[in-house]
Amino acid sequence: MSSPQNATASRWSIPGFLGHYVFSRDHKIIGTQFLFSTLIWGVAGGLLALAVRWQLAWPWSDMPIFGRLFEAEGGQISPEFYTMLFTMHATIMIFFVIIPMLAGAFGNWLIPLMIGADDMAFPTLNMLSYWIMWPAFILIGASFFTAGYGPSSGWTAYPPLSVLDAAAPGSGVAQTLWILGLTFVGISSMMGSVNYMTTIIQMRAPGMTMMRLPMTIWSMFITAILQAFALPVLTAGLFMQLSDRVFGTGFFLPEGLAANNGIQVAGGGQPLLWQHLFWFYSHPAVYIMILPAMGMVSDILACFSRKPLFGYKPMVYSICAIAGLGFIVWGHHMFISGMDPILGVSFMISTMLIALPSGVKTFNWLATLWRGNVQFTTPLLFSVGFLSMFIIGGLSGIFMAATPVDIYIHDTYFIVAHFHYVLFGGSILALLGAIYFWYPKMFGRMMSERLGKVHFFLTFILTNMVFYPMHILGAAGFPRRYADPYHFQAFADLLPINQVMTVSAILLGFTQIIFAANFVGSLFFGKKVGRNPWQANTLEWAAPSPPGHGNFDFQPVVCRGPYEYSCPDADVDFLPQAETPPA
Amino acid sequence: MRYTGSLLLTLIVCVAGCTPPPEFRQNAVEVKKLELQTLGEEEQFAAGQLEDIGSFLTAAFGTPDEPDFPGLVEDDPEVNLVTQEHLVSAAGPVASLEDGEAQGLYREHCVHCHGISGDGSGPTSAFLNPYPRDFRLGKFKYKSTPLNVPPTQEDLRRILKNGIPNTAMPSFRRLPDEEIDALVDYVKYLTIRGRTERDLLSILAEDPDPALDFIASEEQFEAADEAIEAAVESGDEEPYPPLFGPNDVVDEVVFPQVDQWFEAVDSMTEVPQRPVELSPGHPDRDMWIARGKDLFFSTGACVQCHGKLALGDGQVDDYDDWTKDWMKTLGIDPAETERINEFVGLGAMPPRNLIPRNLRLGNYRGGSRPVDLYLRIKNGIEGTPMPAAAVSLTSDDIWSLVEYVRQLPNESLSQPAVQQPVNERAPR
Amino acid sequence: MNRVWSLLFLLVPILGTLLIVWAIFGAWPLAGLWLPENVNEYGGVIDHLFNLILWITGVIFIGTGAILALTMWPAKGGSRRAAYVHGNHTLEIIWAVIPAGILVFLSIYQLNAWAENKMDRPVEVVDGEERLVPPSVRVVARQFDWDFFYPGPDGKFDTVDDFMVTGEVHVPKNQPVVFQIESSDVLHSFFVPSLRVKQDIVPGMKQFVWFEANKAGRYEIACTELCGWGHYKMGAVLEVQEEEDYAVWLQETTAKCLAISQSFEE
Repeated sequence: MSSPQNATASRWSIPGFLGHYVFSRDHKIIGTQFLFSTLIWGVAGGLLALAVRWQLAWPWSDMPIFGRLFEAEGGQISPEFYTMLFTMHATIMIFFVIIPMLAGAFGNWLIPLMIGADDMAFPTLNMLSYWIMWPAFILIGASFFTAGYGPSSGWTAYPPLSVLDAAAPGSGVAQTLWILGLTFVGISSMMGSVNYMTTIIQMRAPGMTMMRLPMTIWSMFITAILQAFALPVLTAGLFMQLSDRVFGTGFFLPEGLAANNGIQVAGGGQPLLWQHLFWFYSHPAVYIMILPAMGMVSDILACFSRKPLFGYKPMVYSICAIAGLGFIVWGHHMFISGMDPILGVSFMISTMLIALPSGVKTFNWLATLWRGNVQFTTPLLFSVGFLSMFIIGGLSGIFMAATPVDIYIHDTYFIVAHFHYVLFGGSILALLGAIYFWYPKMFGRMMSERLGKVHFFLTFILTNMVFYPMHILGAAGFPRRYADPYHFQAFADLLPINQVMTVSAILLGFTQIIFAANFVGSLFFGKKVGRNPWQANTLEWAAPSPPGHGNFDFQPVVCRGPYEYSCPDADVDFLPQAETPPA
Repeated sequence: MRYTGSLLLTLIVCVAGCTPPPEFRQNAVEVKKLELQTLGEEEQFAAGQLEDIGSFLTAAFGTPDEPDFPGLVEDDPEVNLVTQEHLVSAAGPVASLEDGEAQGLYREHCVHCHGISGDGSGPTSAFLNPYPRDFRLGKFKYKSTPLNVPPTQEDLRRILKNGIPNTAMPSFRRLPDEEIDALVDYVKYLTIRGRTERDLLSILAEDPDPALDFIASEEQFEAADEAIEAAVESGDEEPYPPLFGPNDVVDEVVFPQVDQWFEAVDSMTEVPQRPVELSPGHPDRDMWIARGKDLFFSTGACVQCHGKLALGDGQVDDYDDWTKDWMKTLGIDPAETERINEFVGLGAMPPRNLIPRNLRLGNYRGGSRPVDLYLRIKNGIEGTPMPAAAVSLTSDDIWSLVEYVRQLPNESLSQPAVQQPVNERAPR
Repeated sequence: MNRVWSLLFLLVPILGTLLIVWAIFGAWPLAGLWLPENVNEYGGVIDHLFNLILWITGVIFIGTGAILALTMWPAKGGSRRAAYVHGNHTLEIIWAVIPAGILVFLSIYQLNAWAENKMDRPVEVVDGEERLVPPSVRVVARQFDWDFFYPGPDGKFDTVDDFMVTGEVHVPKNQPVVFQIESSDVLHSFFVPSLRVKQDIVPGMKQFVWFEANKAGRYEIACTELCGWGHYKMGAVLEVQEEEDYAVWLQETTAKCLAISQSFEE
């Protein structure tokens, strides 16, 4: 490792621009590719969400842009278009934005840098894990142009709706494209996960013991394990659904179905089987979407309260506990699915248990801030925003874990409120914070703090205005996935509050323009920074900003844990994990 | 920054604001059909002719946002087939529900399938089987009147309240009666408008220079409406005074239809008493049902289409009248995809075979009452290959058939296997 | 300036609680935006549990929110040196054990409610023998409607005097009622907000829901499992009637649905 530049140079087989920036095997380029792709898909997913909101506030009125882009009758969108909207919103946000941004973008960028490695263990596999996303992008993108404008059986794709061509407008070609697209996402995730595990186990810098790993790396490590063990089950399920659709097997179809005057199916299958397989992956997937966010927030909170992370070991153990328990709680999505109610009881208990490590983490974050020397930077604000929103999302989860209460609130907007608080208020706010935090490391320039704070202020307020009232809608029994609930007497009163939410959602959308402008503008006009603009401890800040190929221009030797802030023995309030040699 | 925001805002306002109000679509399939059939090859309607029809229809029937009906008399529902009040609450864009008075009912509940013009080709229609009804032919399947007679008000109301089982037509029972009546009126309105358009096209196709006065302005219609009102008020015997001379379109084309609708209730099919032997529990019932079964296979000829097991698997290569109307008339073979696609492009639904009803499902499209089944067999189903019963079938025969069919769903053949539920355990 | 942030985070629990309380009291403009009145004998426990959890989570919500705002409150005179603390085992055990206790309590406390609503079908005594209450209506869900099959005058299903009503079902007040629910095509879910009843309907499975309505009135049934483009249209009316009214309705409807002659008025 005496000259890392030369050590890695032999790996660059494709010469020139293409090898350096497109088919690059450098983890940082790949991370950036993931980041840009997911941000662009995020815009698409956000627009779909706004279209959903538009319909809920002004049902059957002329929808701007979408009403014009797609076939509309009397200026209004059609109901099957609406089912496509929420299906694709969820699919894109989960599989193309949150998971690849956390694991793909930040996993790639941070793992080698934070453990002091020069690259991933398998750089070519790493490159493939990005490019294998492209078939998925293309397949899912193409499904917009098929009959029904895309898959429309929800992101959960419950059969028989998703399997019978006749059952839903989007259950034709679009659904097949969706299944294939998701398979490619799965392959990509699997490649990433193998790589991350190997890298973290094998390539840590001298002195970087497991118990000196920053929380970000711990969470990425556990996430990789989750993916490796949960994904095969989803893939199996997807292939069974594909074979039901294409080869006429009957894994998920009972006999005697007559959808849309269609043919009777031979049957012999069980729709609940899909739900078990799907949630066996997709519940851990919820943790795949929140654990890395938790890890990054832990690092940001410790850095900006200038204080050691409170209870490092309990934090690590609770991540492990969440991951372990995460495998035995999938049935809580199925309390009223027709599954044996006795089984519901055992899933209720495991679900209640998982609240425990989440609670421990929350209290430890609060204790980290307590008596800290809080620096009010944009990344900190987003991280505290994450904390504040995660508390709400976590507490509303207890309602659902209680099986009898779930009878009432299942598949109502209460659920929608819950997972948007966890995924938008949680993961997305944490991701925004992480972008602000690591942007200087990625691009060597600062993002504007002033714009960042305006962005946070508006995002935080509007997020709550969009999602908080959903709890009230849910309590009133407002069902999910309704294109027009207001013809029910019971839900007619809910129109005004929905209009407030939609206006907030539109403003929330516009607010992200500030972020986009800040992000793009700072690429060119941001203040140039040195290695460690935030005076943080973790290893990546010892590397140049942005790091060159091979990352470190010296061999980092780790001599302490990642959270030695405000140590009374030191002159300054931080003690980096590895000392940078004098320039 | 500021500019990006305002630019986007302008874009959205422009895209949203530039939407023209929706218009009724021209019956392009009918135009094309008549051009090929009556006018002959290479011939076309003159643009002016089609424009005349368009402007007449707009003057007489208004637009989707502001519907009108020829000869409407205010405050007197007795002489009106449809009321202005009903039309207004059914038409127009979906209005805010805050003021309590519902508006735009058709566009809230119906337009996705039946289309803005009632042509059964709304955006959702392509995904439905059977296709949504195209009202413009003026044919209705499930009614208590014989073939070629419009349904009664009650028939349409029943369809809206019960829906049509095993089709995409849902039940609108939760709507207040007033809203259901408004929608019924709007269906009549679209039907008469659509048929008027078809009739006018036929007249023009046969006689390029008809003696009908097509050109009518809104003012003329208003004046005519006032004249009718005055006539009604003064107790004039004649409810529809001649408007624009003896050959006027409204008189010749629209009002005869209106009369038919009014008189439908007088031609309701009489249903004779069901023989007492067929009432449940009667000792001779099984014998009578066996007779029904015989008829199913012999004179009734039901077996031809509905199949030996009554699963609807007999003859399955026929089409309904809405498809035949252009496809069979022009002698297009379903395999001629190019010609078929030409019509599909003009707004026709892609031809699809009509599947005879599976009689073992336990629900029936036209209603599950024994009397409904009697009417279906007696009168046939308009617009489909289901014929009216042969004259040789007596009412007792038909009742035997009805009862035979009604017990089919209870045969063990009809019951799919179900898994035992988990919560049917013995009490603890 | 930095105090603004602390206050912003403090606003979350304050406004959040306020909004919920406002909705519970149903004051303008949030009238009718909370749990609808429960009319099911078995549903009371669900409301009770909901409110209990609301109280517990409410206290934690306000507590943690306040602590968060407090930790964010900037020190006087700008920066200070942060405390050099790596953790505190006693504290961590306390905040692991107390929530654990609450969660265990909740888990056990709710078991009966779950059993009552999903496992133990009501029992009736006929001729001195206990038996499960048989289903009085067979509900068949299809895209996009609810068909309600009644056993007819002979009280047995799958006989020729069964009849079907689409979109409307009537039940007597103060009697345990069992519905057998089936689906003829895709997944649906039987949801009556006012009864706190919800059960996904799986095609190929025979399932039951039960309730005992204690207030006459018209309530709505909604489908809560995505069943296609018309999911939102899939509603029906559930009318709870006094026993006498129900008997009259049943008689009239039986006559109407088994009609063997044309009537001019429905």
